[in-house]
Amino acid sequence: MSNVVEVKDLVKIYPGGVKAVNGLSFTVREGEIYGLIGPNGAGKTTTLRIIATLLKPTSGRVEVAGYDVVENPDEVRRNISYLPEEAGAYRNLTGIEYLRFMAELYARNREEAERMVKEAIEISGLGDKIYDKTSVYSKGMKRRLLLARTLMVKPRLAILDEPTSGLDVIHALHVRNIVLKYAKEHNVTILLSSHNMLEVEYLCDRVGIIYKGKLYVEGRPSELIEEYKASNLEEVFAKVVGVHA
Amino acid sequence: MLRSLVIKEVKDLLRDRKILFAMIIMPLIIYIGMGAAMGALMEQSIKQVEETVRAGVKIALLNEDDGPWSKTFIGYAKKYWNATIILVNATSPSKALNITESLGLKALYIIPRGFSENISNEKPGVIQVYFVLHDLSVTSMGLLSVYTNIVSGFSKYLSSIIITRTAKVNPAFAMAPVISKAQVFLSGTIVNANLVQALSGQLFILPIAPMLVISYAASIAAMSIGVEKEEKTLEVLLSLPIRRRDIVLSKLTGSLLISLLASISMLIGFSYYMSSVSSVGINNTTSTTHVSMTGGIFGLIGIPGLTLYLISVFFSVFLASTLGLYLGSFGENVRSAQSMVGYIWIIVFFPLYIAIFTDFALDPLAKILAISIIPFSAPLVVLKAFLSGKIVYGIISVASSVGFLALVAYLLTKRFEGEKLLIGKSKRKKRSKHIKLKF
Repeated sequence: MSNVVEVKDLVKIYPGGVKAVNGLSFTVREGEIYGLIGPNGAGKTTTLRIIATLLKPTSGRVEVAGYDVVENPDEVRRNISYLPEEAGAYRNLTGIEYLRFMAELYARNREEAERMVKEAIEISGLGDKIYDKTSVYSKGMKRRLLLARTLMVKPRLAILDEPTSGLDVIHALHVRNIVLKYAKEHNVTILLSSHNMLEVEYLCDRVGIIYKGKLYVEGRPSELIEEYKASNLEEVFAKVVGVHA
Repeated sequence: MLRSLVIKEVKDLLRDRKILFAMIIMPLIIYIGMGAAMGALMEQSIKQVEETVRAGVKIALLNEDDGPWSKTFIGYAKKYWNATIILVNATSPSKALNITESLGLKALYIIPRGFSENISNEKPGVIQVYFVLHDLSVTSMGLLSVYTNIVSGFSKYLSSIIITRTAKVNPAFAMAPVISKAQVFLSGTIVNANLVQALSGQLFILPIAPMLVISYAASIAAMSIGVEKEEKTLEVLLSLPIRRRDIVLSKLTGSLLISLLASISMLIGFSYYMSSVSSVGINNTTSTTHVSMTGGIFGLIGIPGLTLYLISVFFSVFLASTLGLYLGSFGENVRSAQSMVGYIWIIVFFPLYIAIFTDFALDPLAKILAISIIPFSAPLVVLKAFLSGKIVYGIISVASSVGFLALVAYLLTKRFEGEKLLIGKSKRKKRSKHIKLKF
């Protein structure tokens, strides 16, 4: 199984000297759901933004589908679809207009774009609300639209930053189920971040626990729970980084 | 791909109620409303003046002279102006004014002692006109001119009497034996001097249109990036499989299209306002001249001049959009993005007004050259350069605009390619201090 993402010795220091990522290394294999878990400020979003070519690494190497994020950002962008934690949709466009706009940027022809939009409508589960302006959408509806946008293009790698953050139980459940179903049905590789460790335990094939910009431990959730003699990933995290709740 | 981006930009901006209302509907409402109101008010004022004149003006007169020529004046005012003269007795002008005011009259004429004697001795006589003003309304100003016109009319009337009595010549000829017919040789064409005066007035009015578009373009471009940040759509946009320069280009094209619409709306409103205000009364002649002059300047500078003028407008507007987008990208939301471009007005209008007062024939070469290379002066410099026959300055000015555009476009592309567009230095520092563990 080939690697879709390869991160090696990644360091990111922001202007002002804040070290957000400190020598991070991990790989994400084709078709798997990989979760980066850690508390707020651990460096998850910075890492995902570097992989999505939005930020440049200070040092280290990041490759997506064999393309270096610094040397070939355009190629990397053709292989990814990114959902940021705090993403919005254009408030003056309707849901379907937003999806059409996005599909046109990825599709090779009109038919393909329409297929993407049709699939996105199904993924989002928004029904007739898809014809409303996104300005009237609730946070959960917006998130479902954005997740549908991310997945409809069948990317080589979907990057989801805190996909259920701030959502109520119903919307969070919908998002989790869609991610799981879509990834398995279409063999899409998914790299997601979350500080909700129970969610990650449910969704991910493998997880990496990061704290203060460093990867502490990596593996299958069940294996980590067993290895650290814990009842869930939260306890694993606490034991690994030596933090007591 | 670029088409999809441009359509998205235009749709998103045009459907924004704030933009639609503030930039497209408001100018129409304000100017048309103001024009209609001003036009109606001015028409009403002029009617009031005309009605007062038709009914006959009432004038208080303190006749200290009481000689033959002051009596002639009273006869003239009654005959030619249908005036009612009310004689007042007072020992001083202030007392006479008090009486005038108490009688509810608007004007007091004082003919001083010696008035008739002076005229008989071929010395100018003086008639003092006092106008009792309670406000500065258009009607009052109109009436003021009526009262002064009575005296100046009497002066001409008296001239013709004197000429008839003393010389055997036609008074009309004697009063104007030489008539000036001034012509101006401008850009190889002989033009009536009055026409040129009107044309020079047009030089003040003509640049307003491009300057409006320039200001709108900068503001809308800044807003388009501010909206992306405020609505948190920028991060996704930058991760899409599109070249960063296409994002920049689509934003500039969208801004240019919207600013064009905004300017058309503004110009329609402005034209209506100008025509409403100037179509009444005295200003009628002037406005008619101005309208016909718009083609006049372009007629003088010819097709090459018009072509370069349009090119200069295009590059100035493009430069403003690019600068607006660049400056706006430093803001965190729509409000701060727009405040970043607030000062563009100064950059736009300051060189414009320097250019208006620059004489391309008399001013030093260095000054003309400096004005020509200042950004946003190009539309006016091109007009003046072609009118003065110094076309090279027009070309320099357009080349300078292109140069500035290339520079700002380079900076803008670099900004979109870099990461600072997405993260603020201070913000990252602040956030890093608040790292908390959350389970």
